[in-house]
Amino acid sequence: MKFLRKILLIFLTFLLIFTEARVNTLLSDIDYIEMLPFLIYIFYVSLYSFSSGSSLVLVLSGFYFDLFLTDNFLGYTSIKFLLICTIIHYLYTRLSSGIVTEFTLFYLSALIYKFEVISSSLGINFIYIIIICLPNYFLFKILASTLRRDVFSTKI
Amino acid sequence: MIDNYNPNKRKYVYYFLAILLSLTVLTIDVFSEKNLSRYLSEQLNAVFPEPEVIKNNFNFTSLSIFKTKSNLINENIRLKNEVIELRKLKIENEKLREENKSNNLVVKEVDTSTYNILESSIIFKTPSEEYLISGGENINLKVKDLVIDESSYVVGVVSNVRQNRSIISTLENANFSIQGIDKYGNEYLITSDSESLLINSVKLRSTNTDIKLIYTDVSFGHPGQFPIVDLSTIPITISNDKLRVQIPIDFSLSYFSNLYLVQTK
Repeated sequence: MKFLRKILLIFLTFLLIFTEARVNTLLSDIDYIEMLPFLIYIFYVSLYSFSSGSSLVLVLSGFYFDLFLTDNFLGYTSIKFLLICTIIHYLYTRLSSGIVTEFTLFYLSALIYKFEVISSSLGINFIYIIIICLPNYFLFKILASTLRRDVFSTKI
Repeated sequence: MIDNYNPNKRKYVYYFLAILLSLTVLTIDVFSEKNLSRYLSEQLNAVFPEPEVIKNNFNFTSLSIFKTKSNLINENIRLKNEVIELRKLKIENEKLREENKSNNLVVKEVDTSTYNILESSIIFKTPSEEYLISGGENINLKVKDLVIDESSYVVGVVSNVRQNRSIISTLENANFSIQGIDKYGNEYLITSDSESLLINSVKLRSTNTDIKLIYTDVSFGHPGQFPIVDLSTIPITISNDKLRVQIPIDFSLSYFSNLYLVQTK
């Protein structure tokens, strides 16, 4: 059962990546709107669900990205995802909790997530990332407040 | 002993091992010149659903419920459906007319006896702001093949080819660069910062400033000569045997853009 749940989670993350790419393609005409559901997932994992199992999910999701959606060498995106998760979790456990800290961490994760875009032209991209972070962070807060009600972890 | 055991540290170890695993795969892929990723991409094609055109064949009159109603209602519905169908046909007709118009424009601009022109569509925008388009090795597409718009101007270059899809780098990409040549044989490097195009001369053979168009060329690995930029309305000055011009990009690619791929026959 645990194995099946893991497989299902892996396929759901693939679906999340697919949705992200599809939505952003349709939104490509609008400059300052970008939906990042997979980044929200990574951020949620690094804050509330940092476990050994999620590392495998991130590796496979990265492989999916590299195989079908990018020009990168296989494994590059996996390393990026794992680094985001590790860095954010490390900082989150050491910094004081609060909405400002959380948003700063979300912004940092978005900067690493969008590393290729930022490295190609600095300057305007930092502001661009802040703007696209705002609605995505709001979505993260909604997701976190919904899932943090501990519905699934309640012992019967 | 028990105090030394820290489950949180153990999680970091798992992540570290996962990074090492990814690094190993990356190294193999680098040394196999992307053969590993190409092989896996072909084998796992089923995991990547490609968009299909949804055909709407739904017809109200085919529903059995209507058969039991009076003839008058049936007739009314049939007529309504006919009107809907006619409206659809009108819209489709207009779309086809527009498509035909744009196709004719490309055919007029490009010598079709020398080149294969294939219409393509955008599948995805990649996270690195590049575009994934339909068509790859299955249509003999190669890296450096050109992507042109309706007026035959170069808007992108194929940067990676997979079995049935390719990644294109467009003028909007900040890392876009292409080499060009003008009518005097001067060579240029054209780069983009996503807002504007920077044109820098690499080799100046003539100091004439009525350059007008900069083209791609076979000598740079492209299928042929296609215009990249038109400088006829831009004042050009050459100083220290160098030409440097910056022009804004008035091109925007979207999911609905018409793209044409150029290949030599």
